[in-house]
Amino acid sequence: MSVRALSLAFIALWLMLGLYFMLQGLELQLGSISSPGTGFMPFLIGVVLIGFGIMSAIPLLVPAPASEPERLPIQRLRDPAIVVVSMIAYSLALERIGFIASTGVLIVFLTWFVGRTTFLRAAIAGVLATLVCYVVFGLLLGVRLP
Amino acid sequence: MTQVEALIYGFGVAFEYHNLLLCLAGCIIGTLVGVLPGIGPAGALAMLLPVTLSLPPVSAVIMLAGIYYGAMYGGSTTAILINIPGEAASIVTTIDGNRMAQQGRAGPALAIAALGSFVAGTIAVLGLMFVAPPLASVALAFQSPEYVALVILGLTFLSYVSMGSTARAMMMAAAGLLLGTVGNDPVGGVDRFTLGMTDLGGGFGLVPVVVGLFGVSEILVNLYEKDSVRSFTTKIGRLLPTRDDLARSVMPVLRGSGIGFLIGLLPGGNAIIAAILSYAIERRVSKTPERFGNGAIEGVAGPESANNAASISCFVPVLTLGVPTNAIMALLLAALMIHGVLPGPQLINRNPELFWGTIASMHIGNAMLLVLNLPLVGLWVHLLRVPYNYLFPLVLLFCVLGAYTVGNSTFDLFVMIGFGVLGFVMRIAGFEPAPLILAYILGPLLEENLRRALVVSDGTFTMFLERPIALTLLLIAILVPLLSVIAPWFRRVASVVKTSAD
Repeated sequence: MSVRALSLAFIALWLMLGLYFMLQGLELQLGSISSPGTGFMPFLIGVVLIGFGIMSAIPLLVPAPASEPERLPIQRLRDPAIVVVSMIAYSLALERIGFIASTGVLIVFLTWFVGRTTFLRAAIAGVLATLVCYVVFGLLLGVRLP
Repeated sequence: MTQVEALIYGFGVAFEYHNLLLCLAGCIIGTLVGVLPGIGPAGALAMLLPVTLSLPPVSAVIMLAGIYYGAMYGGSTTAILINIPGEAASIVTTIDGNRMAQQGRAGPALAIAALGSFVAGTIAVLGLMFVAPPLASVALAFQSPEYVALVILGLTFLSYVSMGSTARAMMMAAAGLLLGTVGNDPVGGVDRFTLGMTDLGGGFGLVPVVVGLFGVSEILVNLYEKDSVRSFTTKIGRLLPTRDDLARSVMPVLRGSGIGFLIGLLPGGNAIIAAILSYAIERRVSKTPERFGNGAIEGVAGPESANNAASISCFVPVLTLGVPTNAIMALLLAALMIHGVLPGPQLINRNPELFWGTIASMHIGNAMLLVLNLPLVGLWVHLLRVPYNYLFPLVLLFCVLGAYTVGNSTFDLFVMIGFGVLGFVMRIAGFEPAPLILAYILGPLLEENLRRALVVSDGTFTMFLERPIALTLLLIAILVPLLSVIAPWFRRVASVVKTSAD
């Protein structure tokens, strides 16, 4: 995938969202110009977003010079993807198994698997970081942790 | 109460031992955030906002302010030593600062950055003292049209001065406004776009959104770009600048302070723009512009002073008008509101301890930062040796703590992850998150005031034309971007005329 294709896909996503908000704005009641309704702003902003979205897309749609388009190295997405999936799993587990267990596992996993350190070092870093955070935030600063 | 009396009163507040400790904590955290690439002040402020919930409002603001201007000090260390801006506003410092380090002059570069920041910080705090109270008096007359005009001006300016294309920045601002409409309608209280989720009733939480866009996305980008392997081999050497260095730096520091202070006052103005503008001006006024890019100390002194001055003067709009001009000030505004302090023109009269206490703490903080960044620079340098594969899980942990603890809700964690992914895609695709976040924050203010103005003027828009401040602000918002389109055209016409005359 090229950067240009990603930019176009990103703009397309916002154009669709703009259209959705515009249509929903109509459904929520626009009101009148002297008494704007709930849907007035979403409609207005939807129109503005679509306008600027099209303006942003035009330079990308104009045929580019013969130069090779900038490619996105997909294989490099591996680490960010692992982090995102781990965060989702962590969010699901946090209130079920508590702060210390879920955070400890998350830090050890990320330091070991994504950070590519030895498991022993990752375990030490994970346990230390979790305990220090728990003591500082949970006990000393009185932040409520599950 | 005269300004001097008020400042003395402020020092009384700032010198209370817990405020002094929190100011120091803010400065240390700020320097840490500034030094370490991958954590910006916006993300750090959002992460630490929940920690301040148990503090009195004045102590919370003193600490949060310290983090922000502390980050401006610390950012230069990384920029000079390893050619990576510790935070975005130090990007210009990499040009000549790192060049000086390569020439074995890292010490003087660091010293001038710290001294310039100190002078600029002090000048800006003095400016803040004298500008904010009269501006607050003027702002008492502000009504809906003025607020609408101010928000439009802020969004236009920010989009206009953003790094990439203006259309893209405006698109992101519109996207931010759109996301700001999610939740209760600020006028009628009707639920919009909540998809039946009660958690979305109040819209997306500001803290998870900021932590996602500025904290999580930064980590994802760093992991994607694999710039985690940082080689730090530079020797700092002698710290003290030579007499020639000092002589060359005096005017850039003073000019940078002035430019930074003015830019910070503008809606949409921020420390990055101030630093870039200062660099451009220093190069323009220099008798030896060819030295720039090759280790000119003026290229460090000017921008570093400018970004510090801007980071302080941007408190003026938020404290006097209740209108934040960047994401960091929006977080400060959120902190004030969480603490039950109503920001706006009345703040100085209603909460003098907060206003003057914060100002006095900035003077103290500036002095603390000079000590933290000059004699103790070696300490921060050691932190740069911490490998990123140990650092990023910790930063992620702070993101989680910040996003979760503000509302004790896992829903906020999902919002943070969602905005983290959004921020990642935006950055890879070449879109800036700053206009989005500012628009997201200002959206409800814009909607509420625009709808009110339309109701009052019976939908005629005459209120905007009849009120001079609103009209002036709107004209600036229209004319400045328009001039940027017309000016190159005029230049082209002029060159054609000149060629034909020749």
